[in-house]
Amino acid sequence: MILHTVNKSPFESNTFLECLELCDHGSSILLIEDGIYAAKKNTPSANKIESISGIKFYALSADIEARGLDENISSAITVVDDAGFVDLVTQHQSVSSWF
Amino acid sequence: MADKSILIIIRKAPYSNSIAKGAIELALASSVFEQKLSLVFTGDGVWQLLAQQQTETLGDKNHGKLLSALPLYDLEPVFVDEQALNQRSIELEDLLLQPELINSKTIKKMMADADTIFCF
Amino acid sequence: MKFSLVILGAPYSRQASATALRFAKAAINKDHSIERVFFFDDGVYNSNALTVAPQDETNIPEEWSLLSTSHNIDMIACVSSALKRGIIDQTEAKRYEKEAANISEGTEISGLGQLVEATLLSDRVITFGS
Repeated sequence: MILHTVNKSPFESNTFLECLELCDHGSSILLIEDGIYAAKKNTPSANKIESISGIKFYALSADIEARGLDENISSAITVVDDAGFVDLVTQHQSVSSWF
Repeated sequence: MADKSILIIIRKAPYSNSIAKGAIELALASSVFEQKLSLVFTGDGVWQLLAQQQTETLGDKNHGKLLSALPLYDLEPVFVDEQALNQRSIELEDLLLQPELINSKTIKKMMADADTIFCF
Repeated sequence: MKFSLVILGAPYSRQASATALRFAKAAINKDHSIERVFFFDDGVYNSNALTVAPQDETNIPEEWSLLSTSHNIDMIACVSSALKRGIIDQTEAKRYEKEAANISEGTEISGLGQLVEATLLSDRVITFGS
């Protein structure tokens, strides 16, 4: 089980899709920095996230709040704080950072 | 110290991004430690493998030449994501190092087997 | 658990370093330890002791230095990334006849072998990309 982090907006780059392509069932994806835009409700990336089973999706709360998207995150996403980020790292065998 | 394996996933094009060079330098540095290391080129990282790189006008070091050092450090074979080549219409014979073609299923397996992943 | 962090982004230009700093503090708060912080590529700008931040902004290089001294964290700036970006210590300043050194307190200039070694010394290695 791998924790993938993605820090790029899906509107700017292919990074999120490349990560998805290589993310195995049972692994998790944590959206950080501009990566959280992938979690915005009613967007192609959020629709994709909602349609995928077997991968858990998380997003970092500090980045969501700073970008004004608090009320607009897809319900398929679990929002975590910095301590939650640390827990996710310990709960997965390794971390792969997509940037 | 525990014996731990490293996987370097290379996904940036050369010249515009210095981490492309950094990833290869990291691979070369790891060979001193006799650790198990695998190199996978995917995404725009596959551009690094093109054989016909000419950098005289650019003034930068030839990235292809840096890659040619990999076999000298016993860092072969290198692996390349078949789908990334296909998306970019790159033929296997256009590439340096005679890489081994792999699919996303194999890359996922390699990621699962690695202790540390650098996705540069 | 023991973590090592790889920082690839310059402070202020990219968010990577600030994210990593928050992660490091959260990890320490949860009684984990940071084994090594490796500044690589543009990340080496985090070791510039001459950084001056506006009063209402965090001095990120200074924060890394404080974290290093207060929690005994090994911090390394990659030599090949650092020298070409003008981040140098006393030894390198002498060797290349430069007027001054600017490496932050707590950070050493060393090679990529230190990053490979970090993978052996830590339970997890986390990259903060630019």
